[in-house]
Amino acid sequence: MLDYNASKSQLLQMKQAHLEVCQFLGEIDSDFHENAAKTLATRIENLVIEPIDIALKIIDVIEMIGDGQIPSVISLRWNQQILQALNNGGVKIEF
Amino acid sequence: MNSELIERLKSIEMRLKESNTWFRLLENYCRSLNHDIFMINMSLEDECSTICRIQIDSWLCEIEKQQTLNMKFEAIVSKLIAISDEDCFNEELNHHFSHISELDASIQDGYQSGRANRPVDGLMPCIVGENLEKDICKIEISCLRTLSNWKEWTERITEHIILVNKLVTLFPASHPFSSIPCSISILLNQISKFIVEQNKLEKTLEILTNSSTDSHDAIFGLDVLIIMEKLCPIPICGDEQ
Repeated sequence: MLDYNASKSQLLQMKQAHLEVCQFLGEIDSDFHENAAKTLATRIENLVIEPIDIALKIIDVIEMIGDGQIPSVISLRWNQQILQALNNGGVKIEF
Repeated sequence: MNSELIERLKSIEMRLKESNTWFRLLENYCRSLNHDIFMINMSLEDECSTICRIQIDSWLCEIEKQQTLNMKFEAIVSKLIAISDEDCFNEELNHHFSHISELDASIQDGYQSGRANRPVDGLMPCIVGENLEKDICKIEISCLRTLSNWKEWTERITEHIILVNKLVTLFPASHPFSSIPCSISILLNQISKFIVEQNKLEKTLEILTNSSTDSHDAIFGLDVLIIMEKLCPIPICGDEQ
């Protein structure tokens, strides 16, 4: 059984950390590094932050519906998405 | 001696009438339950509710059998009372006493101590409390109400489970009814699980399709489709034929 409250706070921390990285990459303005930094920031947004956002929205809906009130056909899929976001947001990503 | 016999016969007659009232009450309840399970079966199209309907039909058949025997014995006892009153009793009527004596022994053993007695055809195996009668009437009245969502159906089935569980305790293992309410209770619990799942699907769909949940709609598009596929129509009143 997934702890949604713990997952939510963990995801929020991860999101904040990745947003800070993206902000740092966005501020790079040297001619040599600018394009690479912006590309990397976009990749982080698409591959890490977006799945984290989806997982957070899923947790919001679960909180609205009530824990234990999620249909079994949906519950498994949503749990997988949350776990995937937790894993991808916390480990190194190969680009 | 004769007056004692008449008193005993009158006591048997009273218990038979009491049992007949109870058989009728049980029959009415079974019909209400059958109607609900029929509607659920039409909606869910599952095996559990189909088997449950078969079990309820079996119970109705057993009740009818008991009612027929009850009426037969009641007629015999009332005739015997009338004959005894007129002092016209003779040896030829002795064979009627064989089953009547079983009824009498069962009543003397069980009813007086308030426990389930030895099961005898045509007689309820114990005195049934007034509360149970009220519960049955209450659920029969609530069965007349049309339910509009799966949440209400969950509550209705829970009411049936509670009542059937109470009925289970009334019949000793050797009674012809004994196994039927037990199996109905088990099947109702299984049906309840399906209905709870339908209630969850209904609630989730309502939240996901609610416009106030801003950008959630796009993310949960696939989930909405899955839920719509799994969600069965709410049971509605129809012709059982």
